[in-house]
Amino acid sequence: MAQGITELISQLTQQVVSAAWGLFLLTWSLGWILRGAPIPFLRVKRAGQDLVEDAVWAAFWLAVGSTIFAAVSYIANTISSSVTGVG
Amino acid sequence: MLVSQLLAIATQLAVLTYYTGVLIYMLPIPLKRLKRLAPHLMVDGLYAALLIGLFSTLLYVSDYIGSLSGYTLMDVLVTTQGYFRGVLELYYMKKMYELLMSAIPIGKPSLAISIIFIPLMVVYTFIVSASLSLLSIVLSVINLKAELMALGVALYAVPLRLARSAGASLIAFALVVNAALPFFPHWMKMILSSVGLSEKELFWENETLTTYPTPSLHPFWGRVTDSLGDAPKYAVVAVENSTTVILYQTNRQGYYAASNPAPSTGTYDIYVDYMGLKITEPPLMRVRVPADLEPTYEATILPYRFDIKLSSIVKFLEPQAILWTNCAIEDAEHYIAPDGDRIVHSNVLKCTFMISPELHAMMGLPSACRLRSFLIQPPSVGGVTRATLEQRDWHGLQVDVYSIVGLVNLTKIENGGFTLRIDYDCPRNYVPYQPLGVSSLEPDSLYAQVTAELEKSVEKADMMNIIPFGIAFSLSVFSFLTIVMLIVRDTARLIGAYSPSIVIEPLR
Repeated sequence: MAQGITELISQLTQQVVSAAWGLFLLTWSLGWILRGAPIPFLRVKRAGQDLVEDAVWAAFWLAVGSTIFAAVSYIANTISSSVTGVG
Repeated sequence: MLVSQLLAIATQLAVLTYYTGVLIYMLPIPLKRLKRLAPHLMVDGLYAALLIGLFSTLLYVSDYIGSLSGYTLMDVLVTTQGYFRGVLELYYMKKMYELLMSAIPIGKPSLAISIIFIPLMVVYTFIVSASLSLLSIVLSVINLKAELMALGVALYAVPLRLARSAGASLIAFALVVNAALPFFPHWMKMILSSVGLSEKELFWENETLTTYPTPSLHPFWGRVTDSLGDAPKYAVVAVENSTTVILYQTNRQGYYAASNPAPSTGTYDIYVDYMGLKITEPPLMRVRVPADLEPTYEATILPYRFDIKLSSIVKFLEPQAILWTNCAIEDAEHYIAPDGDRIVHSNVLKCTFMISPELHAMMGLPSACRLRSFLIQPPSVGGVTRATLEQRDWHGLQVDVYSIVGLVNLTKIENGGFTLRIDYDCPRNYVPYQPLGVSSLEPDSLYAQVTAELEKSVEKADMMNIIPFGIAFSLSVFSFLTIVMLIVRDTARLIGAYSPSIVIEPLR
């Protein structure tokens, strides 16, 4: 049963990750469209700028996700070994 | 096992939480309120991953704090059960008196007995409710602390903080109660001395209890495998130091539990004793208990794990046999074919890395099986020059130990290796032999010991002090539990309410 649950969750994760990559292209291009639109509304252009920045940042976090998890487990292991070595 | 399954689920959930955060970050909707969720989700995922990584350590620290009290959870369990049994006997005594008195044919003596027993019965109710509250909590923590904590971590990792407070509460409960309950005897002594009862009248000073599981015993478990991951069937794991040798038996999957008796603190030589061969490869494992063991809580009452992975020159064979040679076995194939009432086992082993041209091999095979052939292939590489047979007794099983010497022409070896082909046949109904009898991973006898201790502790109960004792006992139980639950609540808030949001703060 647990096998089924972990599979289900990892499938969900894969879907979320692929949807996020798809959204990256959409958000990024939408951001540039708004930014480069020939309309003199500063708020619209600011929104476009925000979208582009968000997309780039999120793509960064998406790409380094597994690295961050590896770093977290490394830190946890270091703490574990130092604690149990003393205790 | 339940704990590792829950932790696997928690890990997946943590990853999902993180990527859900990234997805929300990515959404092309310029809503600040929605976007503010994203970094929270990402941090939650990482925080849950940190908790999963520190799972064993947190329980270990909690155990350590508890052990500072000088008592164990088992002490609390046994003594509380002793009180409970004591009051049950009191109740039984009252019933017996009533029965005896009802035989007297004058007036209503049973009524008089009931009136005499009123204060005792009030105290009886106190002790029953207090000891049952304590027992339920102690038992759940002793048996389920790792499971409760793993479930807490899994709930904690659910995306969007759906079950976060429930998870944090479970984690806090397991950790705090496990650390705090061993201090209960000190609390109770304090309250009892305030009502004028001396410590000597208490079970906590019962010398039979202090000999029961002390922190210096370290039960552990693990799995025996060869370098290709195959496990022996019912091997013997010997844990030996200068004064004692303790033998444990693995099960069919190679798992063993060093728990009954558990080794105490010290340095031990650990080796595998299988089919008449004592395998000291890799060269005799010298293990410091518990420093070299890996703390883990996959099996609840066996807090340490030590896996024995043998080097590549040892190979466990079907159905119950072993080959120990001087070349590295890189790959193994096993075929079976029926032959009348016997089954022919053919093993094709790929052998590499030989320094000397002489091949030495020791093979342990039950006497019920017959070795048919032992070949070096291809024949141009070499052949067996000498084979001797010795019969040995392996914990009551007749074993044939073959010593085989062969000659290999190292210049003719192709692709860095050659093949050993070993054929033998065994009876169709061969049942793997259990050298030490029934094996089990869980030490069931633990509770039998507890019950035996209980019998002794009840005998020492002093019924004369029962009224002040009963009041003080229930008072100390309920006050102690109140304090512990306050700490649990605050710890749960600490785990669940604050997240280290300084890790990622990309939003302005």
